[in-house]
Amino acid sequence: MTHNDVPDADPLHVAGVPIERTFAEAFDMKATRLVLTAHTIEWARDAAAALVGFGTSVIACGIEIAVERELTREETPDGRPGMAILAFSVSGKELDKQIPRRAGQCVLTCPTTSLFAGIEGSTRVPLGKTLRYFGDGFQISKMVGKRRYWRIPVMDGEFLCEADTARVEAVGGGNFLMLGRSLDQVLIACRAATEAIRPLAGVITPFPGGATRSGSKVGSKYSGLFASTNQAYCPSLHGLVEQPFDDQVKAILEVVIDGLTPAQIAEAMRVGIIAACEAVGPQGLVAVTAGNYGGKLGRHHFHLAEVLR
Amino acid sequence: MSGLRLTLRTPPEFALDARALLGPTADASGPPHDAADVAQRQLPILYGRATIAVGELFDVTENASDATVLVGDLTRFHGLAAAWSTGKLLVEGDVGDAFCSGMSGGEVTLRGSAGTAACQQLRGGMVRLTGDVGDDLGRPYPGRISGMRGGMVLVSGNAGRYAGYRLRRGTLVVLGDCGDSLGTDMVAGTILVAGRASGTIGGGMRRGTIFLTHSPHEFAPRFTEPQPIQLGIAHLIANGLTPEAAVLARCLRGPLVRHLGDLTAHGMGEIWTPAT
Repeated sequence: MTHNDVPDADPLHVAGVPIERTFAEAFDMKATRLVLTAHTIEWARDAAAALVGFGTSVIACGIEIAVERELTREETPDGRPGMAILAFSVSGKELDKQIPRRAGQCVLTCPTTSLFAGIEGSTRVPLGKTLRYFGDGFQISKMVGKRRYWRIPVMDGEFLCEADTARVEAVGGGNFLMLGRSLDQVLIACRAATEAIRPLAGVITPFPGGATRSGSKVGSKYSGLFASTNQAYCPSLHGLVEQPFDDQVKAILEVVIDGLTPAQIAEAMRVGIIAACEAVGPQGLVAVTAGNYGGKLGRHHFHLAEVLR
Repeated sequence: MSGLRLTLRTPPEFALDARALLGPTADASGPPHDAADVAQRQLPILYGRATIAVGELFDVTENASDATVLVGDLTRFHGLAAAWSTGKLLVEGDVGDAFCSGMSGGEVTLRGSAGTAACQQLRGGMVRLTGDVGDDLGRPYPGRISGMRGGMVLVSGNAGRYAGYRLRRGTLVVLGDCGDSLGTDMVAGTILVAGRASGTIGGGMRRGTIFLTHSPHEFAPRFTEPQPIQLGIAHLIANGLTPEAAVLARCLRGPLVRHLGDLTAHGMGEIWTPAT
């Protein structure tokens, strides 16, 4: 990503932290929501942890997937505790491939779990319609209203799985970067930001802990690599490469946000930036900025000044 | 059709084929669209060649409601609401046989009782019957392999023999008792009974689900012994029930046992009862 170095004639501040006049560049993606339930919330968490594993970035994981939020018994179709999970991919085909594979290996295998569609839409992503073959002829189809479910006999009873879920248009790649005066300070700011974003509906922060340290640029000096470290944002290379900040910046973390709508991403960015700034103030953060590709690759531009308005 | 009210003046002396009253006819491709259209429709007398115009039997008026309303003792009208596909129909009074045959959508409410073969080969929509129904609820058309194949039927009273015969898809809910041979030769689908079911239950069923709130004293030996099981699908079925069936929903959310059968057919049918 590149830094859009616009002269800051009228600096914007949040809790005393300067906010750079730049924008986050995001892309169209395909998304789905799954609702996973289990006998106890612990089993639901275990299944969800497996389901969303290795799902941080489409660069190599295929999809970006994370827990959206925990669900109470009243919010789930079968009256058990559960988890809402959002998954994003650059293509519907990849989503169709990844979701059944992950559901089969991570949810079907976990004791007491059931899996349901969590979003409405006309384009479908297979769930039980693929996994049913594990039943080897002993699976049972059941229509309830207009929804089809598959019941697959397993060793603890039966695995209940909706036949498919919906796929919708979504946005991926909303982001902001926290330029920290120290690693400790930026870690505190980062936790504050991701904790503030966590309760929001319709968005996920797919990286570990909600943040990444490996901001990337397109391409590499090595052929075959289509993404590599963004040296302009590595404080450890200060003085060696051209960088858009001075040596006050000792560590940078980036929060990446995928969302079902642009408005949900903008709200998550607003909430996250405010929380980060209020957590450590100007003593902890030199500035907050955002990553983009000059506006040439993604059609969604989240200007920090606008999302914080 | 909507906004029509048909009030029977006096019950006819003969049994009538009433399929044309609300459904498509040889001359009209769809349901009647106004009072004049329905009044001139001819209803054949069963077992004879004569027909009788609807206008000779009913006072036909237009009403403000968006529902079609039929009022009177309609026990000699057979095939009422056949092929009903959209909109609301309210019938106040008992009806004859083959009520809602081949219905594919919409909502029909009968405040009364129905004769035999109600909802035969139903394909969709919602049917509420506040009274009793005769034998063969949801059966196939004569000569057909599969019976009801969609929609939901809610009977507040009792059902006769062979309810759900060859049921293929959809849900039959009976809040009263059922006669002998409930769910015979079921292919799939769901039958829920809040009252008691007598005689052989699920004989020859290949797949599908029967839920009985009152467990019979014994099941046919063609079913497995009862096994306690947690069934998430039971919770989903309960969620889809209307408030009238609250007693069934409550039982479905409780602990259940399951019998699998009919072992002489395919063995993948299931009968659920509350765990005692």
